[in-house]
Amino acid sequence: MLLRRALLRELSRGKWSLLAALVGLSVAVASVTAVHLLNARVALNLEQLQPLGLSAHIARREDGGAIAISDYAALVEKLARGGIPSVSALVPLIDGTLEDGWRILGMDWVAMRNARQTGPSLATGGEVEFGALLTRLSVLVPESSDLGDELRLAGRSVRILGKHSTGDERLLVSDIATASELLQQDAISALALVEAPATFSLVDILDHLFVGLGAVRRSSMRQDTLGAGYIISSPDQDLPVRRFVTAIMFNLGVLSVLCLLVAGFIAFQSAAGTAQRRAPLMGRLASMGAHPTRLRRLVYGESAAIGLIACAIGLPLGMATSNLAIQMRDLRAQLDFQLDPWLVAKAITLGIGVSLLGTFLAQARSQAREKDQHFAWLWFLPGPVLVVLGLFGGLPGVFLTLGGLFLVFVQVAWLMLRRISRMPLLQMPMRGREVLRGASTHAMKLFPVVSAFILALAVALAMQLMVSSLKNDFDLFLDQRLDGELNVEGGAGGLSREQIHDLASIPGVTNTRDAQTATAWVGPLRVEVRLIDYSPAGLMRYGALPDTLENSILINGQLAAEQEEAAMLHITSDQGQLNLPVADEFNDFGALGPRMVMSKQLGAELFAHTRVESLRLFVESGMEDQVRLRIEEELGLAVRSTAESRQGAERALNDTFWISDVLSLVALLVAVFGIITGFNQLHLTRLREFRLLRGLGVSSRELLALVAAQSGVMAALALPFALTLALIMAWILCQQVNPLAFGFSINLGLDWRLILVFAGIGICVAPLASLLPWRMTREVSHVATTDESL
Amino acid sequence: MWRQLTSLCSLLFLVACGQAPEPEPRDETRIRASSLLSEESSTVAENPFTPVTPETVLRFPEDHAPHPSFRQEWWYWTLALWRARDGQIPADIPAEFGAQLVYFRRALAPEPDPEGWRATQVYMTHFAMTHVDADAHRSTEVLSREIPGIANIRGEPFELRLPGSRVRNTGEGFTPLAMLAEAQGYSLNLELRGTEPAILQGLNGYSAKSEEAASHYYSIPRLAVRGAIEWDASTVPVVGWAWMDREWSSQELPRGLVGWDWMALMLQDGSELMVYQLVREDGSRDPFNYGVYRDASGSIWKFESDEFSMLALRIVEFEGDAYPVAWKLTIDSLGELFVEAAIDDQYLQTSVRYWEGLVRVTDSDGEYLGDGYLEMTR
Repeated sequence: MLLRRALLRELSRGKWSLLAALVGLSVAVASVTAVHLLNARVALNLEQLQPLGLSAHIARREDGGAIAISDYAALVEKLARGGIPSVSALVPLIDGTLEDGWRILGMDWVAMRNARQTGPSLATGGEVEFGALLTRLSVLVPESSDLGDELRLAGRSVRILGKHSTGDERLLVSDIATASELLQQDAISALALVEAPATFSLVDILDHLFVGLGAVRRSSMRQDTLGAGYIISSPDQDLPVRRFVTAIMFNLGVLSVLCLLVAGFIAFQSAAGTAQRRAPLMGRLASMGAHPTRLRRLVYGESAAIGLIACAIGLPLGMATSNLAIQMRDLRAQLDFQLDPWLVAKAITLGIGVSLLGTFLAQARSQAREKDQHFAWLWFLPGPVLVVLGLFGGLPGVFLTLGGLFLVFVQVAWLMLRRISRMPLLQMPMRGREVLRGASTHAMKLFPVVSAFILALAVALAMQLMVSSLKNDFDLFLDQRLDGELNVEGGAGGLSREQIHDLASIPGVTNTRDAQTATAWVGPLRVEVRLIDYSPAGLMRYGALPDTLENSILINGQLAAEQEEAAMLHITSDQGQLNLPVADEFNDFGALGPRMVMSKQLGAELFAHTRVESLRLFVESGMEDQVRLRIEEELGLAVRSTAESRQGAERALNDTFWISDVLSLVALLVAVFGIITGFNQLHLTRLREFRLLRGLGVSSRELLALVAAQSGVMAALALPFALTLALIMAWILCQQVNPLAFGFSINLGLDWRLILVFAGIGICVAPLASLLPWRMTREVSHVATTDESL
Repeated sequence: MWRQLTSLCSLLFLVACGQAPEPEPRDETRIRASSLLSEESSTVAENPFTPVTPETVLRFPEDHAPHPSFRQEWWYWTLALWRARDGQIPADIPAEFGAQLVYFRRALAPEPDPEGWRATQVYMTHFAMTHVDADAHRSTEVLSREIPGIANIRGEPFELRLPGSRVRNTGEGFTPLAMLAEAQGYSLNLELRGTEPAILQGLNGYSAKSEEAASHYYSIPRLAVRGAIEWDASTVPVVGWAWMDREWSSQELPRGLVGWDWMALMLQDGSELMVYQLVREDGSRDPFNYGVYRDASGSIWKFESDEFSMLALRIVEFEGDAYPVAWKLTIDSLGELFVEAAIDDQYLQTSVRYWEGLVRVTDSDGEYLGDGYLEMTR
C-alpha cells in the first residue's frame, strides 16, 4: 500500500509528464479511431457504385456532336505536347453502311504507323501492308467472299487488295480516305487510342471501369462502340468495380497502417518516457527493500490504467472527429457512434498494449545500459537486414523494405546528429553551448526524438504525396473524358438467348454484338475464356492483328506465367479438347486470374454452353428513347445514360478523395503531435539540467530561446532524412506496392509546394515543444533543482 | 538527298506498285532502307507524277515551297551546336550537340489535293538529337496525312508543320526561320539565319542518281543558329551552324544499290564540303557519286565519282549491319580529311533504321578542323 502510494504520489508530482503521456496516448487512440471510421465510410461510398459496362472510347464530343477533323487536330496537338499521357497515337475511324448493305470500316493507316513505333503490333490488314492500303478506293473483303479483283461500291469501282478474316461477312476494311470517299463523310465515327508501352496506371483502370469518363487505356485500341449504341451488361460485370474498390481500400488501408504506426510510436514514446523518468524512484524504493517484482507489477498496473484512460478519451474523440469531418462534407450524413469490435480491439491494443510495451522497453533499456556494450553494433543490423530480405519478398517484402529503410534512415540520422551535436553548432553564449553540450551527453536520448521526427514527418508527407498522386491521376482521367455515350445496364444473371432475340428484334435496333464467356481447363488450371466477335474492333481491344485469332488464342499475363509462356496450350472443355497455338499475350488487370480470348468460331468447337455477359445494340439515330423505353418496360432491364453513370462515379470518387484528404490531415496532426511529443520527452528527461541552469542564473526567456533553437537545429538536421524517406516511401507505395497488389501503378506526382510546407511544419513545430520546459522552469526552485527524481 | 527519299518510300511503300518489302518477323517496326532497292524503278513513261528534267530552272523563293505534282520531296536540316558561352561559336571546341530535323512529303496520287481525309499528301518527320557529353542520341518519328491544323506544308508564308515540330519563316526573305521541335526528353527552339547563298547541286540543281533517275537538289549551308535546346528538362542556350538540303523528284532508286554514305561538313575556316557515295550491291564504285566544296570566298568546286574516295577506318554494327563511324576522305584537289562520329551510337530508332549523326573533322595530325553530319543507310 505504501509502495503504491509512493508511486502515485510520484506520478502526481510529475503532472506535466503524466499529462504528456496521456495526451500522446489519447491522440494516438483518437487518430486510429478516426481513420478506422473514415475508411469504413469510404468503403461504403465505393460499394454504392453501380456496376458499369466496360466500354471507353472517343465517339462523341462532350456536347454530343460528332468528332470533326478539327477536334481530332486539337487532340493530336494535345498528344504532341504530352497532354495525353499513356497514349502513343490517336487513330481516327470512319464506320458506316453503304447503300448496298456493305459495312465499311476505314482506319487512318498513316496514324496507325505512329503507334507502331512504340506500341504493340497493330492491325495492318494481315499480309497486305498499309502502304498498299493507302491506295485510293481499295478495300479488304471478307475471307469467305469470292469477289475477284474489283467491287462496285457507291457507284465506284473499288480495288480489292486482299482479305480480312474477321468473320463478319458484310464488313469491308479500308483506309479512312476510301471510307470517307465512299460514305461521303468526313466526320469521325470514333477515335481509337493506342497505348504507350508501359505498365498499367490508375488512369487505365479508371478508364476501364467507368463508362464515358475517359478514354485512355494501354495495350489496346479502343473503338468498341462505333457510333451510337447501347451496352447491356449483367451484374457479373461489377466484378471490376469491386476490384477497384478493393484497390482504393487497400491504398487507404496502407495510409491507416502508416497512421497507426505513427500513433503507436507516439503512444510508445509517451509510455516509455513516463517509465524512464520514474526509474530513479524505482531504484530508491528497491534500495529501501521493496521487492522488484512487486514494484514492476505496480508500474505495469499504472501503465495499463493510463492506457485505459487514454482509450476512454481517445475513442470518443476519434469518433467525434470522424463524424465532424463527414458532417462538414455532407450535413445530411448520418452520425455514426457505433463501436465495432474490431475498432475497440485496435484502440485497446494501441492504448493499453503499447503503454505496457513502452514501460517494458524503457525498463529493459535501463537494464541494458548497465551491461556490456560490445555488441552495440548489432543494433544497426536490423535495418539493412530487413531491406535485403524485402528484396526477395514480393508485396510483404515491400513492407519489410519500408520498415528497414525507416530504421536505416533513423540510425544514420542519429549517428550524424550525435556527431554534430558535439560541435558548437551555434555561436551562442557559453551558457547556450553548455545546453548543447548537455544534450550531447545524452546522445541516446536523441534517438527517440530523431526517429519520432523522421517517422512522423515522413509518413505524413508520404501519405499526402500518395493521395495527391491518386487525385492527380483521377483529375487527369476526368480531363480526358470526351464522349457522351449512352449505356444500358441490367439483366439479372446474364442474358438468355430469348432476351437477346427480343432485344435484337426491337424496331430501331440495327445490329447486336454480344460478349460470351465460358470456362475451360488447361491441365488442372481453370481458365475463364472470353469469346469475341471476330471484328477488327474486338481484336484491337486486345492489340491483336485481324488474322490472329483464326486458329489461335490470346492469353493474359497470368496464364502465360502459369504455362511458362508455352507456344501451344492443350485446352479441355465440357465438350472436347483442342490443342491451340498462342498467338499473343494481352495485358490484363492480373487480379482476375488466368484468362484467354478466342473467336466464337473456335469457341463453338469447344463449348456447348456459353454465358452472354453483355450485349451491345446498335440503334438507329433518333430511336434511342423508344428503344430505351421498350427495354425498360418490356424486358425489365435497367437503362442508364453515361451521364448518370458518370455522375454516380464522380460523386463516389470525389467523396473518396475528400475523405482521403481528411485522412491526410489526420496524419498531419498526428505528425505534429508526434514531433512535439518526441521533443517533449527529450526535454522532460533533461528537466533537471534546465532547472540547474535556471538556478545558475539563466533567465527563463534565455532558456526558452536556447531550447527552441536546439529543437529547431535538430529538426533542421533531421529534415533531409525525413523528406528523403518520405519520397522513397511514396514512390514505393505508388510504384511498387500498387503494381504488386493490383497490377497498376499510380503516377507519383511530386508536389514541391507540399514538400516545402511539410519542411516548414517540421522545423516550426519542433521549437514549440520548448514551451513545456519553459513553463516548468519559470519558477526557480532550489529544491527542484537538486531533486534526483527529476 | 536521294537517301531520304528512299527512306520515305520504303516506309510508305510504293502505292502505285503495291508491293510489300520482305517482312521482318522479329521486329515489325523496323524497315530496312535497302528493302526498297529490290523494287523496279518507275520509268518516266508509267509514272503519273511530274518528271525531273535537266531543263528545269530552279527559282527562289518559289522552290522552297512544296512541289505536290512530284512524288516526293524533303526539307532536311542537320545542325552542329555549341553552348552559347558568349554568343560566339568557339573556334577550338568541337560541337557539343547535334540535331537533325527532316520533313518528308509523299504524294499518294498526282491529282490536286482534295480536302479532308481524301488529301493525297502524307508527311513524316524525323527529329533526332545528339548530346556528346552525355554520350546519348535520341530520335523520334511522326507520320501524318495533310490535315489542316495537324500537318501541312506551305510556301507562302513558308511553314512546315507536323505534330511535335514546326519550321516557319519569320522575316522578309526565306530566313530567318523559327524551328521548334519537341519529343520526349528533348526539344529545340531555334532561329536559323542564312549567311550564304544556296548551292545548286549537280547541274544547276539537276542531280543525276543513275542513267534514268534524278532529282532536283539544292543546299543552303552554314545557316547561323541561335536559341535553346532542352535535354531531360535542362535548358541549354546554344549557337551553331545548320546545313539545309532540299530535294524533290518523282522516281524511285535504281536497282543494285544497298545503301549510301553521305556527309556534309562545315569547317572552321569558313569552307563547306558535301560528298556522297552510292553503295552498290556488287561492291563496285558507282559512277554517280558526287561531291561539292565551297571555300570561304564562295568559290565552288564539284567532284565527280573518280575525283574523291571515302575509306572506312572504323566500323560499328547495328542490327547486323555495318556502319563505318570513322572515315578518311581523300579529295584530289583538297587532300585528306578525317571524319569521325562524335559518338558511335547515332542510329535512328525510327521505323526506317539508319545511322545519321554529328561528326568531327580533323586533319592527318588530329587537329580539329570542323564539324558536320554523316548519314549511312544499309
